[in-house]
Amino acid sequence: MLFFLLKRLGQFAFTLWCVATLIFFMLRVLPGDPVEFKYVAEGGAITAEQLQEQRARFGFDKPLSQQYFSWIAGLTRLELGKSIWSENPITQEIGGRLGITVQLALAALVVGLLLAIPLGVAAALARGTWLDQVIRVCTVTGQSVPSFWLAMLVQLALLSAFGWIPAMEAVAFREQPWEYLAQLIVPAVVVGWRLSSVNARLLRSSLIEVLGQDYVRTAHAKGVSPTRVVWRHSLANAMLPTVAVIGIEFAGLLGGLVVTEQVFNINGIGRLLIQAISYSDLALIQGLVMLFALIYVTVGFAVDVVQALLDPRIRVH
Amino acid sequence: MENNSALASAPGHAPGGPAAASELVAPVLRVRDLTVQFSTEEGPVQAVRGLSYEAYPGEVLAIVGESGSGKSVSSLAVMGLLARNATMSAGTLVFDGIDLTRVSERQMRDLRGRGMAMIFQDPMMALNPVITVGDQLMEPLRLHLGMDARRARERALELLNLVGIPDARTRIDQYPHQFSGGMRQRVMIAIGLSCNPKLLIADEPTTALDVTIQAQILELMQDLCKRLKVALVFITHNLGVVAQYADRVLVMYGGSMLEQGAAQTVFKHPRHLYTAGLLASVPTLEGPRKDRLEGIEGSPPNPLSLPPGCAFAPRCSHAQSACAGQMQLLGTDVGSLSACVRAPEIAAGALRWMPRAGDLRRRLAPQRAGGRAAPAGPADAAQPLLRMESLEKTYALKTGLFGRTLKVQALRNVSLSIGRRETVGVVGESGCGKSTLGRLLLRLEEPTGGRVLFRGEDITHKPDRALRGFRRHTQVVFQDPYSSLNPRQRVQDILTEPMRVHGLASSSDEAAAEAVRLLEEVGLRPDHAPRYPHQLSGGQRQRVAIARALAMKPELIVCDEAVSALDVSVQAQVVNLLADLQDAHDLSYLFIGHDLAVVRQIATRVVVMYLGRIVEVAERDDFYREPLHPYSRALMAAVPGAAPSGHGAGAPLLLAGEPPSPLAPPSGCAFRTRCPMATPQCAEVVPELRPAGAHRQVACLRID
Repeated sequence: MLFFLLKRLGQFAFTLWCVATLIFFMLRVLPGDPVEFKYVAEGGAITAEQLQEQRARFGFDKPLSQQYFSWIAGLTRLELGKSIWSENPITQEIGGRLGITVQLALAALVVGLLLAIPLGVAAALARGTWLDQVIRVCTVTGQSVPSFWLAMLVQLALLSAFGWIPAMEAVAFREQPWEYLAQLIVPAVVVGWRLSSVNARLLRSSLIEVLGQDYVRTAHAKGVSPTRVVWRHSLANAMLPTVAVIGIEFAGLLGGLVVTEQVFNINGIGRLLIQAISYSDLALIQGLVMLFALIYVTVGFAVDVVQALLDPRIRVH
Repeated sequence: MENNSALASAPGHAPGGPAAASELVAPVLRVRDLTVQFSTEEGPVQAVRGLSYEAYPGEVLAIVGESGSGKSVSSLAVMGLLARNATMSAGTLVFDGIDLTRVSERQMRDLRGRGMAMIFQDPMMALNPVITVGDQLMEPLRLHLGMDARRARERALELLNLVGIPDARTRIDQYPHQFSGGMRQRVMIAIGLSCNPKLLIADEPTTALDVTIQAQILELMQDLCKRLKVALVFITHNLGVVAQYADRVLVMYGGSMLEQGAAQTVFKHPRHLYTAGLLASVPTLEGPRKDRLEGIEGSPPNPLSLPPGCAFAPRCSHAQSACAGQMQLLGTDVGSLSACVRAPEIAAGALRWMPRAGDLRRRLAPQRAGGRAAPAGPADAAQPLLRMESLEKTYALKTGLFGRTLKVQALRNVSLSIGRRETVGVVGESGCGKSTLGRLLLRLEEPTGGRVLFRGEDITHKPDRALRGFRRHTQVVFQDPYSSLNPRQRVQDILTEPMRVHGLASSSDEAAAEAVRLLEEVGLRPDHAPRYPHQLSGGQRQRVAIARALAMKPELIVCDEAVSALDVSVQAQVVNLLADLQDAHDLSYLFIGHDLAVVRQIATRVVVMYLGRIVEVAERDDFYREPLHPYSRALMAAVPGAAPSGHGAGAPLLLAGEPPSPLAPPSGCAFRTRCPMATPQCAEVVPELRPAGAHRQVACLRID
């Protein structure tokens, strides 16, 4: 078991190193000087001398190899450096925004599962009937409608129907729990619906397959009720392929709520990434990309663990 | 509805049923005129047509039939487990005094698992992989008997002991994948018997198991059913199993019942031509070996288009115009019921099953006159076609997520030669290395030690480029004709592709003509050439696979369980075909099989393997007269009673336990852990193959 964990950890480190290297050199290949961009954008003229000085302050004057090594060395100490624009430590920039994104992603995941499991099960049990058709229409729509467009529709609908729109300023759960929930629920439903669409369809097909298995027939032959056949004898088996997809989707949510956060004015990681890109803040982009890579490998590991919990055949003995 | 019959005149009496006749016991299950129909996209399918039977407590009733005969569907109908697109109707369907045609689904559910239980064919699939064996076993106890967790667990342990699962206290919390196939089937039996049912239906419960394990399971089921007074309905295609274990037998074909009666009576005096033909299709272990199996031509009928009247008539060599009329089950002179219009003639001895004249032999006649020539045998052994010398094969096996690597010795010190025109049969339980032997022989894999010589030339480590000649001369036919043919290739492309690859045809016209000739040679028609594999029956596909092998004009064909997946009647045809082709083309075969009777029919020499080693090599007749190695003897004894001459009485010598794990083979003689003759010395010395009489070798310390 220890050997397995060490091996897995080694794979983690290697993946992260590859990502760090790639992102570092890709950003350096891009044209434009982030330091110059910062000062020009601030409206001030800057002399070549001042520019050199500022560049030296961010370490851009050193040879590329040296910059690369100090970047990697910093990573090993969990230091991502400072943002070029705000000059705050990047860990601090991310730390302040990560919470709300994680909360939104988790909420979307919960909504997604709460929708996906009943929809998938219902569609599988009612396959070929009108109910299956209705669910199919819903899920296909969920997959094809972009969530930001839906987000805008929902906001418009809320506004015109109830004259209400979630508060634009972020509130804390401890201070205003209802406002907090109201703020979270609309984006969570919008994103969760999309998430559920993929998984409901996946669950439907894998559940149909499982329901045709011999061991399900065995359960029927034992006199087990149809409800119990589904929930006790089929669902865990049918969830196996779904878990992998949910994991990838969840990792995607943590890094990919860019547009949704923009539309709902949520000050999370997604917006931070947009800002970093528009300011050409190389250091911040690098830091965020590393965070996303870390999220993906961690979720991948979590998926393995959940699958092992669901399926004793892959458990370590 | 077609069989409104003699049954009506003798209510409550199963024909020839010993239980019924002597004790007048009420039947547990009474079925009258059961009809099941499936609505499919191609139209309605009549799966069961007017089936009637009774099942009595403590009695084993076997339902025998080939694929599509309706034997499984009829039992699923009794259990109320039919698929959604099925409709059933029955004149009477009474279980334990309850009219099953009138009960609600809810009441039916209460009966399932409690009053009636069912065991399925594939124990590897029939248990839920993510639930512990104990939970699966306790479920019906809690559900039907309302036991609490503690009581249910106690009872589950009792049941596991009852079905012979050692170390039940540990095993109860394990998952199905930690059990072997035989052990899983024992668990299924425990689940079936958990609530003391009155009726147990077993659908091909041992078909997926090794012959030694099959014997254990069958003995267990028969014993439990007699002791607990359960009515056992046993669905099978294996006539040997019926002969040995069934009290009564019911023969189904094309959805209808053709014959029913006491098992011994039906086998000794079949009164339906289909039963007689089926019995003639089965090779036997006892009695003189027939030169050819006198089986049935053609394949089982398409349930979408069943003929009127007797479904068997189109394949029957004695069909008359009367056979197209309505069938009637009538009593016979020996007390059985038969639906054959010619039953009185059979009874009078005026009619006997004869196969249709073998047209293949006639086709082949110009090439080789006369019957089968004597096999080349030991005289040619000096110049064998293929020789394997001290072959070793070790596989590295990664276990779990640990990544630890274990070594499995699949073959250990195997030497064997195959002469021209010789058929070497290889037998042994699964995991004994017989398929590995085939793969090494074909050089699909390289051995880790030893040599393979083909026509005296060492091909052991030749690069693939240099193997083309060898590849042409050695071909293979696999077990499963459904997966061994490319579903996207037409039959003619399947046959002409290898000719193209090896440049055996100068033009595509010539190749196409050759493909047609091959089809005719294996008993198919030219109009099969443009078809796809899914448009053919299982037997036809296996013929295509054989034709593909023949297209190379090979000298040696490896048949890896080539007839195991086929219906009994079709299996006989393919066995005959292989023999005819050997005569016509001077072929050698390596015939890997698990059915000792089939191996007897086709092989000239027999090799017995156990855990990667050869334990006995003998000429066929010597071997079947008296197998020497204790393992050979145990294998032979495990074969359930051979059909027509069935020995009925006498339990087989049961081989205890299961083969040890090849990851940790026992020291010395690997078989000693299960051997009744083992001595302490057997644990120390690995027995070498030593001569034991002429042309015979045995690896056993206890045999001189």
